[in-house]
Amino acid sequence: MDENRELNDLLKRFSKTFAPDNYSFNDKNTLSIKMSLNELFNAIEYLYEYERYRHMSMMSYADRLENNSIELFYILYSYENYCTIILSADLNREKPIFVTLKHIFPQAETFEIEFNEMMGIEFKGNSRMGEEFILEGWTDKPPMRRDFDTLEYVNDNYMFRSGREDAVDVREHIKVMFDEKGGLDD
Amino acid sequence: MTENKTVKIYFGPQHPGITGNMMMEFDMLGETIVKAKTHVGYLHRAFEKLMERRNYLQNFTIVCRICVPEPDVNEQAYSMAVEQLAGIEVPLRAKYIRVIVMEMARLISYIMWSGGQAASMGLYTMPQWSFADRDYLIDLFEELSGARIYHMYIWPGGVRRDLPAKWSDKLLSTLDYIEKRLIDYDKIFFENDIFFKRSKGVGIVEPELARERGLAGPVLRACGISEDVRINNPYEVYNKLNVSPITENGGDIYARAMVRRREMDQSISIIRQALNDMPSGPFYKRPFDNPFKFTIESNQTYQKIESARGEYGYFVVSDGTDKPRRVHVRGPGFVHAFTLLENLLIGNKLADVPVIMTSLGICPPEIER
Repeated sequence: MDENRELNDLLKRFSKTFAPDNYSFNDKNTLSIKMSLNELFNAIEYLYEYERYRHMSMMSYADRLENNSIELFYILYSYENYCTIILSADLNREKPIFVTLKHIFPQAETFEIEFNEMMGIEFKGNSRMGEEFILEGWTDKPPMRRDFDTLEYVNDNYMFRSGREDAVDVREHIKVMFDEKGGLDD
Repeated sequence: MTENKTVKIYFGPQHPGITGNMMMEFDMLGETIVKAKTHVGYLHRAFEKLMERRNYLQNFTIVCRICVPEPDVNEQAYSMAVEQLAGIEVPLRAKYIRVIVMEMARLISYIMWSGGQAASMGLYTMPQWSFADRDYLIDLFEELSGARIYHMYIWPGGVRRDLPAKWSDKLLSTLDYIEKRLIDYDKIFFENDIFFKRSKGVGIVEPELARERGLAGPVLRACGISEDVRINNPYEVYNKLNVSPITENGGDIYARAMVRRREMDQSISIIRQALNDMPSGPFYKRPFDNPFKFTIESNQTYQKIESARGEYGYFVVSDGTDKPRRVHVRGPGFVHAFTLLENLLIGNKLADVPVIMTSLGICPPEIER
């Protein structure tokens, strides 16, 4: 644990104000903390303001379909001690709502627009919610949700080409080559 | 125009001055941009969604395709994430080989960038030279991995094969050649008066803005901030090699170009050091009985490396199966193309758009993933 001294000290200070559900050290410079949603915003502000984690590497999410939740992640980095903290909390999958962080990290605005489109997460306070990011005129369920069936969507919406008349089945062709000639030809 | 009315101009997605398939929407007052908005969506191939349906190893066919100019950084960062989640060890020789591959990738990317940056100013000899010279390094990659662009050479536990016989000698002589060519590049491009006039004082990024908006790589270091993942969070064997942060002041296009130019020299030096110090031994340690299909306990990790364009990270969530629950790619282009570019272009002339965009190292595929 000694190699995590910097982050251990931070965790002690952090735990005086917040109650992490659980935590783990990924390596000597990376700490993952999971906490309740109602503490997440204050925890990010605390890390930014008091612990000087001023660089947001990225935001992310994972669909926890089996728990009916979406885990929202914030990956913060300190320019001063070169450590990374992965902070996360569960959102209700039926109505995933959090608040915008664009006033702290301006680049969060773009992540939030993307997450709204791809996962259906709403970020209160971001006036650009609902703006199209990549998809145009999308009306189906958010495509990064695990119960979005890509194959079904493709079968329903796209036309398949019949293929060339001289097309040969690749696996059949390889089998014939091995069986008849003892190996692949040039 | 006489009543200060603006004209709307759509720049891209098919335009020689735009970096890849993206589009900028401008409100112009005469020649001056008063409002800029970035549009993406022309390259979305759902890489991240595809990765959730394939096992950890199958995903190597996908990750390298996320950035064409720099495919190897994706293999490296994704490998590091899988290795950390699964507790896989990498032999020392493989770590040195990975550093060589990473620096070759950086060199290729910078050589390609120098052609693009010069072309954005109408200096067309430079791309002719640089793209031809880049091919010498691509030839070496072909011999090493069997592929010219998408190598799929780095994988969990090391690299796919050892260095071919006499490959190191060929690499060293290629580096000698590139080193001489860089002096030629200086003469026609980096010390060219046209380049100086088009880049000095244009597209200035202030250090406070660079930190506030999460910028990375040469864009950040050109503001005098010495942030480099290879030095501050060293991976593989960068901590055993002589690597120092290269910074410039001014934060303009010229400063960004000078950071890259000096880093080309440094990459050559790092490859030479790595070749010299590389031990013999295994290049791969089989992590599982069946390395093609294995499961990883529930966890998550964020692994990052220093690409030619800055911090390049992979956030991977595992769930106890043989497929990742989530893979999220953090490319520097995602941050540079929106909050930075949209603000930086305001007040600039239309003719400066390609020059500024190229200097920021924006790669649309890594934005859309």
